[in-house]
Amino acid sequence: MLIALLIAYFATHLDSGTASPLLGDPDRLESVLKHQVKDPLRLAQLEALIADLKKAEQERQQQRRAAVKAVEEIGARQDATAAELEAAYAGLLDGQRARRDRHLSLRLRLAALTTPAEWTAVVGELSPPPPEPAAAK
Amino acid sequence: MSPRTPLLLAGALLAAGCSHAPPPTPQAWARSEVEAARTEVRSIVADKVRADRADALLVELLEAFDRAGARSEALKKQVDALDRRQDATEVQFQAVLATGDADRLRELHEFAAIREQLARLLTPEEWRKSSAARRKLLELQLQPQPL
Repeated sequence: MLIALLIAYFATHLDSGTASPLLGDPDRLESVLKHQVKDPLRLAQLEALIADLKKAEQERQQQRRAAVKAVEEIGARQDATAAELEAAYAGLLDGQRARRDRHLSLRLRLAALTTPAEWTAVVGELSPPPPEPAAAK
Repeated sequence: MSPRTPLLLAGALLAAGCSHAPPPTPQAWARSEVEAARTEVRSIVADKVRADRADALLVELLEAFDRAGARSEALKKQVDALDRRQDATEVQFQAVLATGDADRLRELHEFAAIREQLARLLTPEEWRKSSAARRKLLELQLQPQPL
């Protein structure tokens, strides 16, 4: 049923929004780090972290395909119960949480390997600007 | 919006033949799909009473999506604010993310309950007809996603 997959698709995107925005594009992150971090030793450590993330993400894509197929199979059955569908979604959510935790771990290690000035510069290049404070009345 | 979202949605737009349009937000995309499902239900279910009930359930789903989208946006702002601080700790991140996890489980429970009611409402033949539309979504789901 259309609705089953729409729900899964929507849930996937809701969760994707909670990952660190700094890690959205590892190639771009790598480029910015190369630009901002001049210490070759720390830069090599940072690049190794990003390489690990890319490799782990490839494996996760395969797991995700299996989880989505499980949702699709159950969603196609008219007699599938809400509980069955929730159990299938749990597979998707588990994968998303694992990915998010990996991102968080990497983000914390990246922060630890950069100086405050480098971090500010990297965040400035990769993040959208913070919301404007409300004007004083 | 997640950085990976534009790429995935760009694939959807390409498939729809409108590659020059800016990608919609997930909420806008979901809204348009539910609206399409409402039209589909009206064409598949001839019985007006059941069609009205199915439509009401789809509107419920739409409202649930809107609430979930608003919660997700609020959560993302909290994560973004932490991300800007180099000294933000894992405990601080996890405290914020745990709120999102609890929300997500409640939302999925709500979504699945609405879907179950819809499934009970349709005849097997109506269900079979509605299944064609899900192929497009499945293809989107199975596309590789950037980080």
